[in-house]
Amino acid sequence: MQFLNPIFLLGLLATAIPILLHFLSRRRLDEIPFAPLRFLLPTQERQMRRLNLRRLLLLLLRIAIVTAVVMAMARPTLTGGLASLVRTGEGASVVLLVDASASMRAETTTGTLFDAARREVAQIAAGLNREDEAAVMLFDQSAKALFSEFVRDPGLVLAELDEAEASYHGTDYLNAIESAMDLLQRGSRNHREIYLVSDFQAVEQDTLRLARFRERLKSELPTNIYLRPVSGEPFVNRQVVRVDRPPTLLRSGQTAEVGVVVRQDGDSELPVQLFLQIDGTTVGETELRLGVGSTQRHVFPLTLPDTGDLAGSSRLRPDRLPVDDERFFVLSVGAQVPAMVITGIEGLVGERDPMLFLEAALDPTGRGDGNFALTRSLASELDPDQLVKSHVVIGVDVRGLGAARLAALGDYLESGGTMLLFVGDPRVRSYTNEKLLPQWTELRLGSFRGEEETHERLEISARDHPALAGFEPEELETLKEVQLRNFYRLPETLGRPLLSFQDGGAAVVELEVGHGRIILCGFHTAATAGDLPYSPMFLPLIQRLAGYLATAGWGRFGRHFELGESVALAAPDGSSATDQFDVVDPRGGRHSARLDASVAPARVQFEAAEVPGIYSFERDGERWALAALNVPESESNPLRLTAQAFRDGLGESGNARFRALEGESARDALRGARQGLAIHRWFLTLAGLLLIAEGLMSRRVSGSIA
Amino acid sequence: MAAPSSAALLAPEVVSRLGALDFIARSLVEGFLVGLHRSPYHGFSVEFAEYRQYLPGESVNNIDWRVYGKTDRHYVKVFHEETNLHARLLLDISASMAAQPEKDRISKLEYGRLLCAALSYLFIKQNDATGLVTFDTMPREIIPPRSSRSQLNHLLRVLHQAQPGEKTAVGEVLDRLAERMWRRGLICIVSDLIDEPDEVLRGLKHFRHRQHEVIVFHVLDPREVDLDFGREARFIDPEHEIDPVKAQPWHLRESYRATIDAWRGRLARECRMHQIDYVPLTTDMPFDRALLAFLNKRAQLR
Repeated sequence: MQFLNPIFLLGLLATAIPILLHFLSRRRLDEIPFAPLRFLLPTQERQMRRLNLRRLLLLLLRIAIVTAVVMAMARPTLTGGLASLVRTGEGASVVLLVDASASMRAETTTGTLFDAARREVAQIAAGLNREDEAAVMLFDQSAKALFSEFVRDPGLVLAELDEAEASYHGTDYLNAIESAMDLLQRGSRNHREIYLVSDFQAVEQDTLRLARFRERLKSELPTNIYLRPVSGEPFVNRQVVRVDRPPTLLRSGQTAEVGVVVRQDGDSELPVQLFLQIDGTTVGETELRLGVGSTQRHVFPLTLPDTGDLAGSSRLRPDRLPVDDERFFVLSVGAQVPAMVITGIEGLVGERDPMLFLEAALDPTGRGDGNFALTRSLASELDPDQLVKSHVVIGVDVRGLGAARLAALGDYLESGGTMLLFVGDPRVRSYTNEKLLPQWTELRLGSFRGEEETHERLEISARDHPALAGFEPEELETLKEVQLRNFYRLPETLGRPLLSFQDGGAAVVELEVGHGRIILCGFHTAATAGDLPYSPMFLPLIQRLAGYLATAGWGRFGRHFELGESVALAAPDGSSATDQFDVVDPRGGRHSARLDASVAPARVQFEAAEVPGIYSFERDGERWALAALNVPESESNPLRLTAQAFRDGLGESGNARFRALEGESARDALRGARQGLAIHRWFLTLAGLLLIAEGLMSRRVSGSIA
Repeated sequence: MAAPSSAALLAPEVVSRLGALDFIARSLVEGFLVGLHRSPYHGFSVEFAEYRQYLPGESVNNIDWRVYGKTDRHYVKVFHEETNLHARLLLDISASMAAQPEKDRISKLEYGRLLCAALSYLFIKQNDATGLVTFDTMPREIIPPRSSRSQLNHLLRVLHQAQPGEKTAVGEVLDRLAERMWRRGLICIVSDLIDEPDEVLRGLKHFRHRQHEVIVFHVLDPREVDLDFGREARFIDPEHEIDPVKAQPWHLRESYRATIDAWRGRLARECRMHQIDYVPLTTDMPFDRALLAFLNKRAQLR
């Protein structure tokens, strides 16, 4: 017999409780002086003999009850010959679900975690019965069965598993379990089992997704899901967390700043050597001392050599988990960013016209050679085709959009577009609150602060935000000197505040809308709003905010993706269905990509990215873009869950019964787990019966006092 | 408000709270006598007390015909009663008498003490010579019978001062006392008789053999009769002759009652056979039962 929770055997100490009670109850008796004691003696002796016997029996019963409960909690399991005697004989449909995500590439003294998982699977397979049928699935972000059918001979499956290796993708446990459930529907046995072999790295679960998952499990047949953790020796992980590209237009010959964020999770200070490479050549190198469990940002100055896309990476020397020691990025040099300015304001002149200052900030020379290739449009004349080509939309007064154009703007944002929206003009308040904002957010403009006499200063709320991170401290101080008098205070809870007002409320908030983003400014850009337009920081702030939105790299205009995501780039101008689109992966492999012309603008999609690195997109053999694919940051999470914590994270899960498969050998643990259920129920039943007997016996001992 | 009945006034718990023993004795006896129809104080003796008018229905034997001759009226002569009765009260003061199974009732010793006080009062009031013996394993205090008024005070003082002894040897003590008391009289024994029944009966028979009249007041605590305890307990012999025993009384009650009934039945039967008055009492019974038993006996002796 084995115990799955042997720690509970400590509960056997609780058998001392009935023994103690037994002796305490004996000692507590009152003394009664009783003269005719001689007449009591003959019957008393008979009765006490009987009573003592019953008491002894009662004590034994109580000890047995405690023992039975403790045994049940310790999950005793039968193994060997005895187990085969009580086994039901009916087989089970078994899915062996093996974690092949990037974190499984962590190296141990005996190979990678994935190798360890392979060994565990082999052991589990060896522990299956002849009547069982098995299938093996590998999962990361997605799940894939090695065979589409269940097989009776696990050897076949294992041979296939030997060929497999861990991917660079993230982990999606819920999808994996659901896929295993799907596969089990093809099984022919009544008993259903899933063995989940994983390092159980903590992955944040989306609440909505989790609720759907639980709902799904409710409709499933009862399934035992055994959780088998694999783990290597603990190690200190160093990683490149991310690379911040400069949120401005990059020009050939300029010096740009590339910020690299590195982290270590150890408990002592650690020197790390950090490299920056551009197109395979090391252009920067530094040694950092990382404090205990700390994150540090290092800025590499980079002289931009050329026009076009630059492929770069920042890396550390590889550690036990090499997948997060290098992050790739792409810098687009030289190209102007297509931007659209939408306005409805007419009739304002001079410093009362917000467009005057805004256009000056976006196109400082007035010759159209700035960072942005500007298109101006009145709200009432907005051309949706032009809109979808813009990487960023700057809106000042969009009241004249009308329903159709407003919907087009919504679609644009949902599919990855971005907008910098100024709402400081009190005349646009009702339109903004009633038409514009309800499409994307709960946020509404409050009452307008229009005191001309007093001024209010700005505070920096998110110093590390990419749009603000590049500013020098003195520049930020200058920004804080700005005095505003006409503005809306925005709620701070409904987005990420970048700038706030000194007396509370946000001035600039970033909101996520579908795949796109909006940066909402509670002021406008005319002199009536305050002295912001005259501030030396006005131009840099507008450039950074718009530049960040246009280039920071999400949605369809981004060049940076996590492995496992669908890679989609806006197709080059003039693309047609007859063009041949190819993708060259970092190893030189050539894959074909698909042109999706059903959306505007048309996109080139590529799904089969497997390794991290720079992917080159070609049209008819000619490169037109680069994209950087990195391992999801969540795979670097040093937090490993126990099987119990993993199960707790999933919560109540319908008909699925999650059990930890613990023990030295997975094979024994499997046998134990399979028989553990039956035998611990035996003990519970026994405890119940003993409890009834105890009730009857204790009534006889303590007696109904007639 | 309804007047309390004399039985209620004679309840041992009430009486024991009254205080001084002589007051108690008087209250007990007078209270008891109020309820009787015929005054026992007027008997026939040599000392003339008064004349009283004859009432129809009375025995004509007692009419003074000489007075009738002079006055043509029927008068009856009334005498102060005189007696040469020697009464001895034998009170068991052993440890078993002092034992109280529960504190809600008076002890057997206290009950016996009150009973003896009442009897003494009654005896002295009738001019009977009254003595007292307290005993446990041997006689502790012996007061020879006298009929003077001061004797009552003496008796009450001794009763008041009587301290519980240790062990009991009722049979043996009775035997020895019977040997010493050569003058015939009334023997009132107040005891729980916890001793070998054969020994006890031998002692009682010995008194009878000496021509004494004997009343046995067999006093027990009610719980000693019915074993009415609601919890498991250790029962201790107050005289420490038997080791303490643990018991759950409700399991033993039936057989215990049978044993006690058999014991008391045997005592009653044997006493009847030897013309001994056996009065079973429990400490929750009013004293009138004992006093009535005594008066009956007294009437027989007249």
